[in-house]
Amino acid sequence: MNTKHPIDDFFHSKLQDFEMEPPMHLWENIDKKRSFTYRLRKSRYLQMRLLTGILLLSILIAWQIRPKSINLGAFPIPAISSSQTAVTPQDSAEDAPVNNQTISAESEATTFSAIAPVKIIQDAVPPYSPKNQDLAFVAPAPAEKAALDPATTGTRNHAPEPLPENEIGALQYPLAAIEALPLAPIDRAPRKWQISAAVMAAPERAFRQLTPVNGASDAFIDARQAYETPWLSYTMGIELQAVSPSGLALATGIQYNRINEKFDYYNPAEKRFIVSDIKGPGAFLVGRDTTVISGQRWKTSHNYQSTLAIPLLLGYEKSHGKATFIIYGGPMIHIYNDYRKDLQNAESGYPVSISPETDNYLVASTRTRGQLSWQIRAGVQYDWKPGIQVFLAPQLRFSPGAGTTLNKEQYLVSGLSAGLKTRIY
Amino acid sequence: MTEKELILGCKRENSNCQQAIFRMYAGKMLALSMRYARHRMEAEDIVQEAFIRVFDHVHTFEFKGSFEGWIKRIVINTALKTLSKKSFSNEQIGIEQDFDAPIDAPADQLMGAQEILDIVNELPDGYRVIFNLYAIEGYSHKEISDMLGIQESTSRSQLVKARKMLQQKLAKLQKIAV
Repeated sequence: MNTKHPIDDFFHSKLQDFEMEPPMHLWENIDKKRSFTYRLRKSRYLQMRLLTGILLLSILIAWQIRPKSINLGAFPIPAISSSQTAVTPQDSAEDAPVNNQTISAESEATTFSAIAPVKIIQDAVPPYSPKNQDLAFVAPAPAEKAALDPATTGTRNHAPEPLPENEIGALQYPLAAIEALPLAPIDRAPRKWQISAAVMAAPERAFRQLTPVNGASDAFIDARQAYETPWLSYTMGIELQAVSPSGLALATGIQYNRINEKFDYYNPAEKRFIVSDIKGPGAFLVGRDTTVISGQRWKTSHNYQSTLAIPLLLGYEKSHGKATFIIYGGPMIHIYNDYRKDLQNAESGYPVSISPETDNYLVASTRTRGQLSWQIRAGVQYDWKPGIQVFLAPQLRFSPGAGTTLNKEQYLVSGLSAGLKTRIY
Repeated sequence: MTEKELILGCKRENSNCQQAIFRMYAGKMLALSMRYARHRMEAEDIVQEAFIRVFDHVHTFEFKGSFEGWIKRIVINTALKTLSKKSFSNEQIGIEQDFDAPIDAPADQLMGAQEILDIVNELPDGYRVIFNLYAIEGYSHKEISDMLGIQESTSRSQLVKARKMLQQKLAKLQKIAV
């Protein structure tokens, strides 16, 4: 205690335990400002986390309630025996949508309803276009009729009997669907695990949250917030992806992540050395002049945090034609972290590095390896060429916690992952 | 409930415990921030901001020192941060003649804490902050220079000038009282 001077003693004794009545509204303001809704309005980091949650939830809900496409291999055909030939249109319309069973090869008397399946086909199958010839509505050609005739094939004993012309009228069958129905249901799902190699890159934007280690390091946080700005970040990586017949997927590989920042600071003692040659007669070099210019100026230091990580991702893939919906998420084990940071020292105002190689460094509390972080990405994959797919997927990742002795820092990084994928097994 | 139980309640984000802690210390902290702030409203803002930080970071308090001291330090830091926009632009290096004259008895007896506080508040910002940190809070010049980002010699010279001004004001009041 520095109370040796009488003035100091006098004021200290009078003011040390002095109290004032706080106004009533003060507590209400504190309570309000600490509420989640208030902070949500103020904090961009919290907003990002909430948006992420909403995005993931939306994807999940959209996936659950997506319209189910017609599987031509399990087309709903009511099994009607020859004894049930008197089917009215109303009956057929009621029966058809609920009957998904495949027509059995053993039921010799099985035949098509002339009305109900065609109605469904008209609803489900797009109209004819040159690009969609497989599903074209065409009347069976004589040769095709012959192929469908059990008498000629000897195998398709359950194929539809030809209907009288006046009953067929304008009704037409999608040949591909009919061909596929009884004998060869289309099985689009792969029967074995598929292993693919992928290469990817993602430009990113990092959102940072700085947390003081204690209440006394707030000034340090404020100084960092004032002088540091985010810069373009990115991720590059290669992955091995294994996809099961059910669509469940596993992925691992190696990723290089880099978060870039700029740090602007005022250098009050900037020195610039100008060396100029002194030339004599005949342009011979006779000496050098060194001029030192001292001054003050703003400088920029480019900081970064780069990491090498092994992702251990769990995913799901679902194909629709040439497009595949993909979602992957899981932890990443960081095998190497590297930091370069010059920070504003809140006390002296001068920049200080966290690198131990410098004389007066700020001790970083960051581990160099073995940290865990999290990543998730969801997007679309497209069959570009045979065996090669391209994919585009927005991704989010939480970088490992970092910091110094005065603060902790956490980064939420959002980006757009793009890459190529090729099947290797 | 004991203070420790209240602190543990604050760590669990119990609103009643937070309110109890606020009521326990708000009066002292408001008086403390009044010594640094330029006016009452600024002092209230400082207290408000400081208590938000207290409750945000109470989980880092490890019962190693007094809780009041911990809160006080947060209030002081918040006050300094508020004042930091106004720099010590008029600082002068060098120590002037110091005054060691004792305080006259009548001033000591007649003046209450509020009057004393008013006198301190009449000091210029730079003088007032350094006088408070050194004389009332008990920080050393080295600590003050680190906190404010100024030289130790600056802290000393500001303190000397603050004392001189305070002594002149006390003397003036003394004459009026007599």
